[in-house]
Amino acid sequence: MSHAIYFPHSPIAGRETPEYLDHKGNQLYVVHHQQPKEAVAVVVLAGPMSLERSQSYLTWVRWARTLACNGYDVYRFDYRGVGESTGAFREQTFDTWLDDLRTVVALARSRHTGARVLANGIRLGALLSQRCHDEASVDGCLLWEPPVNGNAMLTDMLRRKLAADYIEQVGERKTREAYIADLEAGLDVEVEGYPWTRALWRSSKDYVFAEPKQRSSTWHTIYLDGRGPEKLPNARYESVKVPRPAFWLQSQHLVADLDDLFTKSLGWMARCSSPVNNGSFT
Amino acid sequence: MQLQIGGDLMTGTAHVTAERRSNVGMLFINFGYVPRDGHGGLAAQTCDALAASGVPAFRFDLPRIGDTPGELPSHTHQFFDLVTSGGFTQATAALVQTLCEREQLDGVCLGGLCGGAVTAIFAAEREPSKVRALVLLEPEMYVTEPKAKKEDAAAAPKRLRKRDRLLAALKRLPQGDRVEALGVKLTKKIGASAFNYWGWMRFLTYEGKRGQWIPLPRKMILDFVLSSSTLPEVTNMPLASAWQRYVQQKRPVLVITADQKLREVFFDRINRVVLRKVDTQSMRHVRLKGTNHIFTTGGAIETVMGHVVPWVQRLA
Repeated sequence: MSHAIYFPHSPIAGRETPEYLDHKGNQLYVVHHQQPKEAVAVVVLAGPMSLERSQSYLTWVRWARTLACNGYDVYRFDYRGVGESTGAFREQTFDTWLDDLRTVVALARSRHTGARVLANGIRLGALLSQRCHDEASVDGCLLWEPPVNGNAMLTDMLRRKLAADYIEQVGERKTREAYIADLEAGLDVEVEGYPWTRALWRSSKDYVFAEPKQRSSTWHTIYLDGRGPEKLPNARYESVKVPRPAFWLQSQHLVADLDDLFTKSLGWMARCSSPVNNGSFT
Repeated sequence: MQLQIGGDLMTGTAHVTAERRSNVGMLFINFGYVPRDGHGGLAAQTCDALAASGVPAFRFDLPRIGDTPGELPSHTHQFFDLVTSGGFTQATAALVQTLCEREQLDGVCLGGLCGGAVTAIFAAEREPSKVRALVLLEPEMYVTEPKAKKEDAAAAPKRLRKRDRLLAALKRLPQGDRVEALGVKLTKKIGASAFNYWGWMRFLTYEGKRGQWIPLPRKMILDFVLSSSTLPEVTNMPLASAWQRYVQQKRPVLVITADQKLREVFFDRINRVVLRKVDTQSMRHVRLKGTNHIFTTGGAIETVMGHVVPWVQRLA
C-alpha cells in the first residue's frame, strides 16, 4: 500500500485549526488537523520537551500533515510551560505533562465518538504515550525513540548542556553530578533555557520504558538509530536510521529524509486502524 | 490568531492586555527557523510581560516556519541564504501592515533573533511608517557560511595557489606511498583549516569545537582584526546599508549580543565602518557576558527580558 508523504511545497490536506483548551487554570495549545470527511482514525501526537521541541518542530508539523494527507485526524499540542501553552515551566513535571496528554486524548475521544484513537509519541512523548496505553485510554500507541527512562533522558540532556557550555566557554563550570546534586537539593538548574526543578527531576524516575501491560494490545516501537535486528526484542520493535544529528537535536536538515520512518509508521497505523485488527494487532 | 496575507495563512499568538496602554505593539518574528515562542520561550515570556504591562504583544510564524505552511529549503544553509538575501522581507512587511490595521496600532516594535533580526532590519526599511523601533537579538550581519566560502574562494586565489603549491611540494618528497598519502591528507586538512576564515572566527570566539583546547590571546587577535577600517568580505552589504540608513534616520533600536561571540564580533566590525560618522544615540547596545548565541545559558533569558521589556515600555 502506498502512502502520501507531505513535503513543505505540497498542499495541506483538510483544515488546520489552532485552539486553546482550558486546563487546570492554564491553556493548552492544540492544533487540530481536520479531515473534510470521516477520518481513518484519530492520532494524538505527544512531542518531545523543551529545546528538543523547538528543534524538531518543523519535522513534527510535517509528520502531522503527512498523517492528515493519509486520511487521519490529528491533534498535536504543547505541554504546559512549553511553546504556546501557558503555565510556568518551573511548575511542570512528567506527571503534569502526562495529565496534559490525557486531556488532549479525552478531547479527541469526545469529538470523535466511536473512532479509534491512537497515540504517537517521540522521546518524552513516547514515555507518556506508553502510560496512556497502559491505562487503556488510547486504542494503540506508536513510540518513536523511547528513552530507557525519563531520568536517563534528562541526564543525557544535562550532558548536552555541559558539552555546549564547555565548548563555548559560557555558563557555569560544574560537573553533571554537581548539577544533579543541586537539583536534589531543591535548586533550579537552567538547561537549554528552561529551569529544571527537583520535582521535574524526581518525577522523571517514575517513567520507565517497558513492554505493554496488555500483552495483546496495539503497540509498536520504532528506534531511530538504525540498530540491527539482533538488538530488537521482538516483532513489536523496528528500527530506522534517520539523518544525524537527529531532527530533535541541532540538525542541518530542515526537511530531513524521513521517508522510511514515515512509511513504516503509516503502514503500522493503517494496519491497526483497520477494523479486522481491532484491538489485538501488534 | 491567523491572518490571511497574500497567499499565506500566517499563524501567530496575540497576548491579551488587561488594559491597553500603548498604540505601539511588540511583534516578534521567528528566531532562525524555530517556532514563534523562541528558544527557551524567550519571545513568549517577553510578550507575556509586555502584555501584562499594557503593551499589545504578538508573535508570528512566518511562511515556511512553525505552524505557517510554505516551501521550506532542505538545509539550514539554504534557509539562511534565503534570510540573508531578504527572502522574508515582503512577508514580514505585509504582516506588519495587516496586523496594525487589524489591531488598530500606530506601529510596532519589530524583534527577532539571528535571522529574525536580519529580517527585522530589512522590513524596517520596507515599512518605515509602521516599524517604529527594532529589538535585534544577535543580529547576523554577514552572509551565510557556504556562500561566503564560495566568495572567499573566488576572492582569494593567491591563498589557494599557495596551498596547492604546498601540496605539490609534499607530493614530490621521496617517501613511501602510504606516508605520502597520509601527509597529503593531513596537509589538506590542516591547510583547509589554516586558511578557513570561518574556522578561525569560530575558533577565536569559542564557537568551534577545538577553541577551548588551545590558549591564545584571543582578545588581542580580535582587537587587531576589528581594527580594520574596511568591511570584511563576508559582509551582507544590502543588510549593512539598510542598517546604516536605519541608524542615520535616528530610529530607535535595542541590540543585545552575546559578549565576544561571533555575531557580536562582526556587528562591531561592521559598525566601525558603516556607523563611523553616524549619530548612534538612538541605538542602545547591550552585551551579555557568559551566554551563547541563543541565550539559553547563563541566565540570559531573564536578563534579556530585563532589558527588552522596560525599553519597549518606554517607547509607549
